[in-house]
Amino acid sequence: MSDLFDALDVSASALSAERIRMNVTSSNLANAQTTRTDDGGPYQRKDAIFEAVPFRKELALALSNEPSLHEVKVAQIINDTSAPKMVYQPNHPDANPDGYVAFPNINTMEEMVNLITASRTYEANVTAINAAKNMMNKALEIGRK
Amino acid sequence: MELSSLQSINNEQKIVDMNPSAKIFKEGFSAASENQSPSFKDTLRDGIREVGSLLEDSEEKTIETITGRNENIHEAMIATEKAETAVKFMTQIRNKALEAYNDILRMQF
Repeated sequence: MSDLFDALDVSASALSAERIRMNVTSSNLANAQTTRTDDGGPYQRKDAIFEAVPFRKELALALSNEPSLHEVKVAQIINDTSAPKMVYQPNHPDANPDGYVAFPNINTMEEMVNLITASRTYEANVTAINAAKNMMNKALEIGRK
Repeated sequence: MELSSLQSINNEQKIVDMNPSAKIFKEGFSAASENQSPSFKDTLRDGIREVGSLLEDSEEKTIETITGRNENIHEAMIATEKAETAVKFMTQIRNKALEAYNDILRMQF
């Protein structure tokens, strides 16, 4: 019975991953102008890295065939190490001795695109789940008079 | 004409030897009574138990989402869909089993 629902579980993993990416993008957008953090220095742009994990690997290997289904997991959320934007504001409390303030290197347009991508991918996976469910329901109609 | 018990046993053996399907029926009957192979009743019961566990799972996931322990709404929704499909499937199986049962009852000799 569990084989029937494999497609649902794989899509569920995608929904979780996209939700995490959405959270990370929201954090980036909210902190686009943040000049101080707990570690000192400006906010560092964060990125969610996805990886494909074979679905039910142990079961597939026990049945001696390659696992063909892969689900997606967030491997890690890394900090973007590119240099911060330096803006000349000598009166800013966070200015360095030269009068420059380090702002996070966050491109708002790029974050908006990430937002749209995450949202559309989420919708696509929900459509996949609905399609799988409809297929199963149609199969139950076999033999209905 | 009354058959003596000895004669009826003899006749039965002749029937079984002549008809291979009768032999299979006899072996299956004795195997089922000795519990060597899972009967239809056992398969049905296991299936119903699995449907029950899917329903429990969906309820658990829903409660987790409502109380805020799990932030993924979609897990609760998918668990609910799984349970719904399983119940529909079980209903169809029940319909077919009842139909087969009624067909057998309607047989006339």
